[in-house]
Amino acid sequence: MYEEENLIEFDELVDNPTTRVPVCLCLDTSGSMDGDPIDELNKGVSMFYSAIRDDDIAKYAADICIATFGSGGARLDQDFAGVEDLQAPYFSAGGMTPMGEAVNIALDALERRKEEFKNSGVDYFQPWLVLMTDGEPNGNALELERAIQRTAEAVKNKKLTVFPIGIGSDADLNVLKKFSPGRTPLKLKGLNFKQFFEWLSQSVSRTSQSSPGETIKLDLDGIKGWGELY
Amino acid sequence: MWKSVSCEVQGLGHIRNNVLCQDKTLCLENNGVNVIVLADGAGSARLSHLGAVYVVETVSEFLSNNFNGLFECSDSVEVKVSILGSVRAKLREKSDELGCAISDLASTLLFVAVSDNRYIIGHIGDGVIGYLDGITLRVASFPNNGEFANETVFITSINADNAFNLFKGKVQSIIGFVIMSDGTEASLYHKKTGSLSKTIVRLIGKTFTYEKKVMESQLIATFENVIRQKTQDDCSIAILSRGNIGYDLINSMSYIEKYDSFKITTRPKDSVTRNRIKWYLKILRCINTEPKSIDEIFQQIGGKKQRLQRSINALLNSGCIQEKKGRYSFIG
Repeated sequence: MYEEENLIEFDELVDNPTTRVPVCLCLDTSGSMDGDPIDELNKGVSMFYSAIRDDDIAKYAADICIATFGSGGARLDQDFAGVEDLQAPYFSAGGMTPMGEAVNIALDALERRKEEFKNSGVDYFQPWLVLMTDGEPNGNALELERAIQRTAEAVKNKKLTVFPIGIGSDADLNVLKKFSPGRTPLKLKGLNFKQFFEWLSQSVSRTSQSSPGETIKLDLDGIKGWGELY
Repeated sequence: MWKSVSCEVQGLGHIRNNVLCQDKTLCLENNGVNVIVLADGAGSARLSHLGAVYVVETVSEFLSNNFNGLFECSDSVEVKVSILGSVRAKLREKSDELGCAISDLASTLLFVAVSDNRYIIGHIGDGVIGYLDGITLRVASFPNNGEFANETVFITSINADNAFNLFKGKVQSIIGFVIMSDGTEASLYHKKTGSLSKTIVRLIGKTFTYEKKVMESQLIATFENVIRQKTQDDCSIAILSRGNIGYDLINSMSYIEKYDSFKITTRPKDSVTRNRIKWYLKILRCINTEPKSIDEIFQQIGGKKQRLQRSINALLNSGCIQEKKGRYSFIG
């Protein structure tokens, strides 16, 4: 019956790509994360991938990249991609805390991705940078300074949303603050990585369903489930 | 004679969250002016569903009452200021009545007004405005988004004057206009190439041939069953048409217009080109009333079958005919 009523059929529609929500996870995998913290982080990231995959809208919209600082120095563990066909990476703890280098790697990846989107007509929302650490950075000081400057400027120009999250009592709050003008760093409650990533996947889902002019409100109540103010 | 239709349907996201449809459209014929207007209320503005209604009503009335003056005015800034001024005055009045801020009534604006072979097109924000020129579908005004998907300009934005795309001109070979919101854009506008779906040609043709009531009910059914399934957003469209693609339209074109429309690459004055155009017209006349297979066309007009196949391929490439299940017909 519909065939007779419809002036246009599904196979005639233009196939535009889904609007993406780019999310950079910049994660501390240094030696101090060894033991329960790294195990919980692995479980949390894995759960994040599953939760996104289970969400009919977010699974096409989420565009995830992971940079780590720790064992192996600062590196891009996974360049931007949809999670549909990907397995969550497995992290092991070790090494130093070259946070600045890792943030710069993540920001470079983000710039490249935005260029790819522009060239292929893919719309995207304001990207997010999740920065998680349990210590203080001890990589190259100039790299750290450059990372802070780039991030803070992008936040100020409304080109990036940053979530600075400290793990445990040794996380360097002052450095995290510098990355995020306007948004106070949060402290992860215990090792509630799972709750955090659950909240993150829900926020990605909500954002992917917003339309032009709509202010994307983060679920602040939801944050209480995993984070607290320092 | 111009005919117009429009429709808007509530988006799936809004149905789920119990939010009213914020897209509004209006077709108006007044003082010999045909107007189609569309306003997409801002998701962030709490009364934008009302704002969008005020915008389409005010703009259509203003354009139909002032078309000649607006068209003749050589200063585009003055035209923009007068159109925006009328809308903002209405929104201010309504915001006072409702006890809300004017920004609570924010929306985009897209319109086409036509009178005596002249048109005025205006656009603020996202959505697309297109037109069918002869047999060629073109974009008049592209979506104006910011870097991010949820950014655009609204009629109440500070930079609305600068972001106001305004065009005027002679209708000449244009046979239809279309305006659509960003929800509809997802299905009928190719973002990468910045081009409109060919199905728009059919909609323009049917707007002219169908009774308004019939066309509008089919349009609503199509938008509910097909178009809105591709997005979470509200979807709307308005179409203004004075014909459809057929033999009569193409035959009435000048020689050069036919040459351009058929996308012929040999020199226009060559006898080969002249013969080719005559041959193409013969084929088009043959399929004018009903779709035909190549054998049926061959039986009717003769010639060499290989040449006929080549010519049909060329006409398919030119975009004026289509093939469905081995039968050829005009794309409308």
